[in-house]
Amino acid sequence: MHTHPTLFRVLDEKLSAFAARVWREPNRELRRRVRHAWYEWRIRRSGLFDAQWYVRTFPEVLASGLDPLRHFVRRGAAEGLDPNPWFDTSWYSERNRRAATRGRNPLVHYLRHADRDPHPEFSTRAYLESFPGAARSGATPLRHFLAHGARELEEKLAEARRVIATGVMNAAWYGGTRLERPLGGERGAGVGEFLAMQVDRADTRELERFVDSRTTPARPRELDARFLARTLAPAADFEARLASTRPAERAGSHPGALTFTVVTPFYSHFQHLAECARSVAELAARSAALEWVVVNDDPSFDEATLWGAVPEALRKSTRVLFDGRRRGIVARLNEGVLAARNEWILFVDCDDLVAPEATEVLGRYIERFPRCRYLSSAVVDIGEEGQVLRYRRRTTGPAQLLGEGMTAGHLKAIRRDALEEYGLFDPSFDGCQDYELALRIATSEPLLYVPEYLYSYRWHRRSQSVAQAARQARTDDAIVRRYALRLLARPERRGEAAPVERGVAVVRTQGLRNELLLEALRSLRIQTDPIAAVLVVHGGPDALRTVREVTAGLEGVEVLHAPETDRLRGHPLNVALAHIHASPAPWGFVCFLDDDDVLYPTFASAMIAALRSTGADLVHAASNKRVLGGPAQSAYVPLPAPTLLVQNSIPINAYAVRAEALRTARLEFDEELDYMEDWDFLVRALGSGMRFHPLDDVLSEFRLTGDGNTPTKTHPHLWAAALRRIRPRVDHAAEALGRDRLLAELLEFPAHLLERLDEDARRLVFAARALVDERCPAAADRGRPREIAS
Amino acid sequence: MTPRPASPEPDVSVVLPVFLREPTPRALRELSRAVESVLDQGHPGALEVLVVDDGSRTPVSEAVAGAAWAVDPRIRWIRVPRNAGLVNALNTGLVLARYPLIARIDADDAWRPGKLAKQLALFAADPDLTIVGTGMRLVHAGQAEDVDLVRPGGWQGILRFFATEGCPFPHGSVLARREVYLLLGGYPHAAHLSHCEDFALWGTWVRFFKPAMIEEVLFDYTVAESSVSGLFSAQQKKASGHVQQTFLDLGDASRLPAAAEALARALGTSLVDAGRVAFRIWKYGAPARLPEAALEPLRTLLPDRRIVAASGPALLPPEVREPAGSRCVRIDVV
Repeated sequence: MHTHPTLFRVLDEKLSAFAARVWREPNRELRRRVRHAWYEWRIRRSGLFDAQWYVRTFPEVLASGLDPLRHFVRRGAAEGLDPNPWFDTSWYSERNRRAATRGRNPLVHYLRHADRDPHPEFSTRAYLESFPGAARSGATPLRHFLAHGARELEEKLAEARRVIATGVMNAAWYGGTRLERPLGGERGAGVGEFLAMQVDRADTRELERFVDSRTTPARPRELDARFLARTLAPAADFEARLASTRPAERAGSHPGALTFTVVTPFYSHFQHLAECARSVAELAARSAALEWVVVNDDPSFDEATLWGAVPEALRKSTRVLFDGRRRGIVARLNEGVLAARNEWILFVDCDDLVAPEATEVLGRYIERFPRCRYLSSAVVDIGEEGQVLRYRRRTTGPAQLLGEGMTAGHLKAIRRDALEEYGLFDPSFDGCQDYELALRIATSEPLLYVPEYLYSYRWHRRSQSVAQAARQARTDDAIVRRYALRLLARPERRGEAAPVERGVAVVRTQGLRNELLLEALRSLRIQTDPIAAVLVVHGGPDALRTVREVTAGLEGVEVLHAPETDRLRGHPLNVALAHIHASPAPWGFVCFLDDDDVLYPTFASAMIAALRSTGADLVHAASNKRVLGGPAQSAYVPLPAPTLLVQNSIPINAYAVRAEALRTARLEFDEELDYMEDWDFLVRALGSGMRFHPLDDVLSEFRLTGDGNTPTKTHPHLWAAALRRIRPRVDHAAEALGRDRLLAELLEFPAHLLERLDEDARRLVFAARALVDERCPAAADRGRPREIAS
Repeated sequence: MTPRPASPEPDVSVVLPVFLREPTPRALRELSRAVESVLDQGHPGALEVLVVDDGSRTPVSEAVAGAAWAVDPRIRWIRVPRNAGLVNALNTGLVLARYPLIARIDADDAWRPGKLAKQLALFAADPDLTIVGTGMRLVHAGQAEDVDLVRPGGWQGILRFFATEGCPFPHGSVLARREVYLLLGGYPHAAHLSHCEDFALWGTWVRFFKPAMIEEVLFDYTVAESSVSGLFSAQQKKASGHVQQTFLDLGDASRLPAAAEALARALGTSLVDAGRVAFRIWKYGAPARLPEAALEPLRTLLPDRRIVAASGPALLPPEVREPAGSRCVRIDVV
């Protein structure tokens, strides 16, 4: 049915060119008609317009009297109507702004850019990976899916059915334990009994819609907290830590009767509330003393309206809480929890459905695991009309909660005393409040995942806005960051610390470029909080004399002499440090510069503010470089401190270190290094446990004068020798850092700086991790979740 | 009731960076005009003009020797030994300035009579103000017609202008608090922001601190081929795009002024102090103890940070006094 692809392309190009000519045609009406005719032809050829589906989904099309395709071209696309179930016009237009330009047709745009995703649920990349034939066929991936993919999927489904029949499609987990054996029990019920019933009940068409989670691609990730936690850290360590929690002794056995309260916050989705209510009514019919608490957060619906959705039989066990205000989902969930009178709380959203057997299934598990206080079931995804989109497959357990994201969701049942003990939903994490609560509990006691589908989650046509999605991602990131740091037992960050007042700079010179030296010294004075200079002349008496002459009369400059010229570049710095440590002056911070560096006028105030605000021992900033006479260019941006293990990532003039921390750590420079004594010093600082804080301000500059500061070193053999000498100290720092602190340092690196790191920086991060791994091999038995039957 | 701090003393330091490749008569004439337009404002308070000579081959102070204004006691000569660019010159001026208000002028601009007085009147009337710009006339050296540019006043108007148009303050019109300049770290030295350093700085400024604009032409801006904006328009465009996008990423900026005011109420501080607290939390991400009511406005002010209530000890910011009767929480930036 396809024209030869090449021929088609030629035709397409010719027509495009023709259309472009018409585009310039002065007669607007003619222009429009030609364009529409062309769009119609193009879309019809593509096979991506499903007229029957279109008319069924948007009944107003019939009323228009237009041919469905014509309707789509002339009006539908502009109104955001979809041409088939897998092309989401509004979603696509939001992501492809050009496609949404007035007069253009998003579907036609897609035909020309078939590498884009047509639908939030359809990943072109993943599809082409799963069905390589699609790429060869010349058709768009979406067309291929509609024509062939469904059949190939069918084959996968046959396999899935077989898997379902074995009862292990969804694993059950209790903390880090996978439950594989039947539960036994007096009534002979086992894991999967209800699941099998559910599968039997689902009709074939629904099963055809089953989409294995493996066909849902993992989107490429930013360098965010979860990515770090998954890939850099002892990922398995986190799992081991989550898997090793034990049921709380105090949880005892569940007291009294097994009673449930369903809590439903209501907002906006009135059209689905009645359906939700019917599902709760069915549930109530099969459970004793079930109570439904509806908390209204939508002032545009009055109490009577909401009551109208509650079936007669359910009314006497229902309460509708209503205060005519909008307070947000978190506040409403907490209100519902506080109002609940029963032992267990089930959370059901107002547009979703709960399975009628939910309390029976949960009851069996609760009897079997009487100290478990948090259960989560499997979930079915449904569409606007209640049609099954997929049975969500859960392959991981609660131990993977940090790395995998929120898998402990609907239907969740939480015992009231756990909420009393761990606290309610936290409004700080609005949007991901359930994930945060799940992690809060999971870090203390095991959660139980049951394989049965006890919940139908409804997907809405209107997708999230980009801003909402970004906010959600940031919240998720914050949660992972927080709990990863907690699991690493990282001490809480300090707030404001001991005040830092004046700073002192160690200025190193050989007396060979005094004009530049004067500029360096001047840059220390032009500060809101002038920095004192300890100027060390590394050279003979002549050099010392000249330097003394040119700096005579300068305020705030002490000149020291480092006469031993056979000792290398670290020597003058050590002379200065010894002097500073012995000095009675209460220096707050120490910084370093060579005679060809300058500090920018805001260096001191920025460093003081950062040291004070963050409590860090060492603040490192961005810096510039400049060929004398030219414009400043970016030289360094702050990277996570562990990258120091693999590269000298902080120039000597770009940091300030607390004088006290320097003294306590007794740090010195290596006097036998020809190069990289500054790097070696920072590696030692890292190894000594100093806390680094990055600042994205540019605060200093080194000048390229062609005598050592250039990236190409003039003496490669000395460079290599220096590397060899530093290597053991790097190893030592890697060991001192260890896997946990490495990760903690990365997680504490400010998120807004982390997300800006480029590929090179990421490589450094990974290299640092590899080095730490090499130096600190994990204990052999650590980190593997236990596979024991309960 | 939010405390009303006193407006800053109306003492003004004017920062005038100048780099003369050659001391041409025209350049010197323009410089004289610029300086005289400042000195002739008839400003009753203290005034200094920091002429920051950014390493001109012939020191500017020598090139203008003989001009009456060059020996005016209100002139402070500052020489950067080697040309290091506008940002460095501006920040040098900021750091060395003696007075609480900073005005900006370029060597080829001229203030109109009464400019300073009108701006100072706004500062006197509203202690929350931190920066006041004015309208300008673009004076073309060539044949092109002069154009008046008057941008909207008011915090909301300025935020809207930032989001939809671009840099809200004509640089040579600005009169602003030195303490805020320094808190924000002066003009950014980042190379990718060069030629748009003022726009970048205002982007942070107007998020946290209240600005205003006098909707009247009060200075003349000379459009010359050789001016920074003329020479580097491509780089400037790229950098501006970056600054503006960062601002747009904050979402609905119109919520910021009300949130800043709500924060000031919750903290029991002036609007300026509330801005300082919010800025430091944004900048350094350090934990702090704050009244619980500060959480929501802080979240609105910092959509690009994640603020969470936490437990554990933390210090109240120095601007904030222990509130009587309202609960304090520790906030973390994660």
